[in-house]
Amino acid sequence: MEIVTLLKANIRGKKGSFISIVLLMMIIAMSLAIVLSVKENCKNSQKAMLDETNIGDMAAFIKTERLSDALFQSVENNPLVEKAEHYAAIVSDQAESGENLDGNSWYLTKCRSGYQMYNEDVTAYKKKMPSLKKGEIYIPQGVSTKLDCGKGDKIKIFTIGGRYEFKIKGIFIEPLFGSATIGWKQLFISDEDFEEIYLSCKEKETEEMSADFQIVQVYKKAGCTLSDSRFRRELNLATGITDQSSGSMTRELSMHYTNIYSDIILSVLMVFGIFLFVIVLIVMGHSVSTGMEMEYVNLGILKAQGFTKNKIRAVWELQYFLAIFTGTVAGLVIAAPLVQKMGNIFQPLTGFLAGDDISFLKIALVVLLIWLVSGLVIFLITKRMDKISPVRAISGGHNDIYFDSRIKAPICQRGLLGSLALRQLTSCKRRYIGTMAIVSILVFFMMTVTILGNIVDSKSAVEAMGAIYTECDVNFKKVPDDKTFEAMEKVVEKYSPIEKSYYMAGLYCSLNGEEIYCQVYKNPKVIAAIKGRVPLYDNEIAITELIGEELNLKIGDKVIVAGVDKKEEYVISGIFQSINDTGMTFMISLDGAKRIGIHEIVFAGYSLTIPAKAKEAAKALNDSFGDILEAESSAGENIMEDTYVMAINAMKGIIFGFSILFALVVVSMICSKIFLQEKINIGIYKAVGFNTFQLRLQFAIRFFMVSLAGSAVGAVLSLFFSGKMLNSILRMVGITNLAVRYTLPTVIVPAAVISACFFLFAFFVSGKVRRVEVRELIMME
Amino acid sequence: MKQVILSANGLCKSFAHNGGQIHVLSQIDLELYEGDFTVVMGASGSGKSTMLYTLSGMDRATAGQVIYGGENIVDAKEKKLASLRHSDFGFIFQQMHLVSNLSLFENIAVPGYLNKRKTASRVRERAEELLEQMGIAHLKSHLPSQVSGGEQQRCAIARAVIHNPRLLFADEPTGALNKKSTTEVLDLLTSLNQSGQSILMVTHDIRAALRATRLLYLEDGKVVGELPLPDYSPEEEKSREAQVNAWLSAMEW
Repeated sequence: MEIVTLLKANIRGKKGSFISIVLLMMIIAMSLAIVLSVKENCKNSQKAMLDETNIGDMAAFIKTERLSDALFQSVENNPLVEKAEHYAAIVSDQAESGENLDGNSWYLTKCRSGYQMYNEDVTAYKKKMPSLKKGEIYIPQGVSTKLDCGKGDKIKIFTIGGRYEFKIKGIFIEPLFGSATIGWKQLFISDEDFEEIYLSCKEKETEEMSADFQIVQVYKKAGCTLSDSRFRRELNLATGITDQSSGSMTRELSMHYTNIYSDIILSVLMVFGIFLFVIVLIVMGHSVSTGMEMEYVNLGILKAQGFTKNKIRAVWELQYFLAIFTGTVAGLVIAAPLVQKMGNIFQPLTGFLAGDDISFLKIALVVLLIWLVSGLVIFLITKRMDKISPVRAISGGHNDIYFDSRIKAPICQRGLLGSLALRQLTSCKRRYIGTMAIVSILVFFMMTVTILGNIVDSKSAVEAMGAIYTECDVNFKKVPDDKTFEAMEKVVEKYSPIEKSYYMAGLYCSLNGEEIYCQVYKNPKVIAAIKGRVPLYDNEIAITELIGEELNLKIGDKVIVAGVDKKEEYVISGIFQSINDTGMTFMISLDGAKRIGIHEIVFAGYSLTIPAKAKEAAKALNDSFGDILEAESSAGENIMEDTYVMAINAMKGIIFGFSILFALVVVSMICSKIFLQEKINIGIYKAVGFNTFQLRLQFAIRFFMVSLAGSAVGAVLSLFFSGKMLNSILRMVGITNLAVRYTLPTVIVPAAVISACFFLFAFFVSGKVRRVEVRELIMME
Repeated sequence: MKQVILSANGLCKSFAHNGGQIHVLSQIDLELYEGDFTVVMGASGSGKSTMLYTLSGMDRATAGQVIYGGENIVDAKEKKLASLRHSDFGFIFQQMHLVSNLSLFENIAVPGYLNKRKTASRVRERAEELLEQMGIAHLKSHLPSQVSGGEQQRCAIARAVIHNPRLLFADEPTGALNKKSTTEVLDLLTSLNQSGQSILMVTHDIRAALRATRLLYLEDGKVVGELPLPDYSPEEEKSREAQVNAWLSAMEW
């Protein structure tokens, strides 16, 4: 009973600390619960839809002429395969809606059964898709996101047979290639349109260019325990199906690509949530130690009255644990209705509505861990209470003793408040170390997320990731020759000198039997190698670190690369970085590619010294070479799609917002404690003529100094660890060697935001100075 | 004719307590004169300290006026009162109340720095002079926790007079000191007063009261007695003590 009485009294007396810890824990529990649930829901939604639509475990796009009966039968009869089916598709390499253009492999097929579609306002699925009339099309969400179009809008599809305009009848759920993060797309058109376009394409088909494709769906045999990628490899080694195809996708790969951005963002938020928890532990530690200092006499009195050290500790432990428990439970309650809302933020990217399921098991484990760690920390901190001697406590208490500091800056008239603030800091450093650690964690995260944000929107950063940033991009309709390249460059140079140019083709080849995206460069030197060098001779290739890890390959190893018809041996000359196919890619020179029957260059790009001239250069290219290519300008556009920018900015907003919120709670909690500890000094300063404003300013300057020091530590931490942290998270998109580039705003903005918040919040919290009357000095005695 | 520095008219101070009011000061009319060493005595709870803090503007009066420099400072804004504290008034407390992380020198100099009319070098010079005058020059770099109570109080006196205040308020300045330190502190106050410093001091200590040039007796929040005294001289201490004792007896102290 006595414990309950003391507990109640303690909570009453320290309402501020109690509420602050409840609030902080609420934020952490809420964010962790949301992150865990959304992460699982995103994947579960796709998995459920894959199962419901009865999509194969693997799908391959293959030219009709290459899908011989023998090949298909060998797939069907493979012991790993339950069944296989194929259906016709017309490939298009470009689509346009409004002012938005996207160039990739888009497959037009007849409307297929089993698929579902979104309702009018994209908030629910409809089981039944009405049949299509001529001129109508169903698009997946990825197309809607990429081209910023929706139901009722017009979309133009470019095929070798001509341009066709459709009216979008709805958005259907395409669980395998439907996300905005996957380049290939399947679109449904009416049977009538399909026949018409098919015939038109057939008429214009050449040996090099054909739009006549088959989509092959392969289903694993029941009980097959192979992973999807292993299954694809084994099947390819046995049948050559992926060697013959232009590309293939497994369920597992699709899940990876579809959820790639949500995974990155949720992972960053997860790590941030964990660090916020560390902050709460620091705050709690500070609160317990200052509480003990301030309650020293009372604790001594309790001991003198016969309270055992264990009872006194139990009261404190219960008090803090109760705050943690209340905060966690409140956080979980608030999280429940937000799970679906937050999950649906990713809908434009993934193409799925996230469910509202709560990941009870994972959350329960995390909450248990939080409680366990907090309990342990409280237990360890309160251990110091054991040493309080009742005699010492009652006979004078535990007054602050200031020691001479080695960092003793003089007190001067000019900048009096600043020098007093600095003295206050240096003479009692311990009080501020926790605050500094908190600031450094917050600034570290703010800087890390700013760096991540810069990647989205900076040419140099994109190039640092192994991509080539160009302002003028070209798609070839016919295979060009070397003379054409020279002539094209001359046309472009009329408008701007060329900084960098590339000529390449991208296709899927088998590397030691694995179907891997292969980048063929006419001028491979345009890509920088991380280790070794890019392939210069025709018997060399370069691989990414991820390929090296996945296939256990290193520089100097010999590999077999198979094109459509030929296989050749190559040596790995270097390691490079690429975000294509999330890093699962290799690179070869055009001369090297010719050995396995790949001759054509499909894309070109020019990085211009005067980017503003890109539009004119593109127009000139179209005017001069309109029959063999299509050029477009991307100058002034975001390097990545707006949606990604929005998603990353949303994450930046969350981290900055939470940091500011934490700064507010931490400052108000720590300030209040320090304020109580320094009440006498404040009274003295008032008595000698300082006014409230000056004292508040001194308080604010002090916290500003702490936050500046913390920001400096945060910047150093960022220098050492931001790259490592981002690399480990961005491995998902193939970045293993992110060249973190710091710009002045990367460092200044987070430090300025957090320092300004600390300054302002400290100034507001210290408003209590107004209430300190000098007479309290006398009354305290 | 002595000049009035500060006067109180109908000064009242009450505190709310258990739904009622406790009247600590009732209708005090008082004038403090230039150059006087005014000492207020009275039983515990008579309102001595409350009067000192109400007169100095550290505490707000419930009613009445405190006139200083022709202005009623009872309703003065906080900024005005702060300015008075670092330019016109000085304070000495029973518990010294030095800022614990400032050296003795800095404790003295900091209030001086607040006065923008004085240069930093002038403030430092004056602080050095005062440290010398108070006999603690050798301790100037020490922190308050590293010196004795008497030395702390001498530092507090130096701090209170760094800006040459017109009126020095002292609340039981010897209350926490031993006999030797008490004498040293009282000697310093007497010497300050004899060089022209006006002082209003509250005390229980009869030795401190002997230094007064004017004694006031407070009872139930009212000034009920006054005893003018000549300037203090150690030679006349015995006769002065008898006179003061007699007066205090008459006041039923």
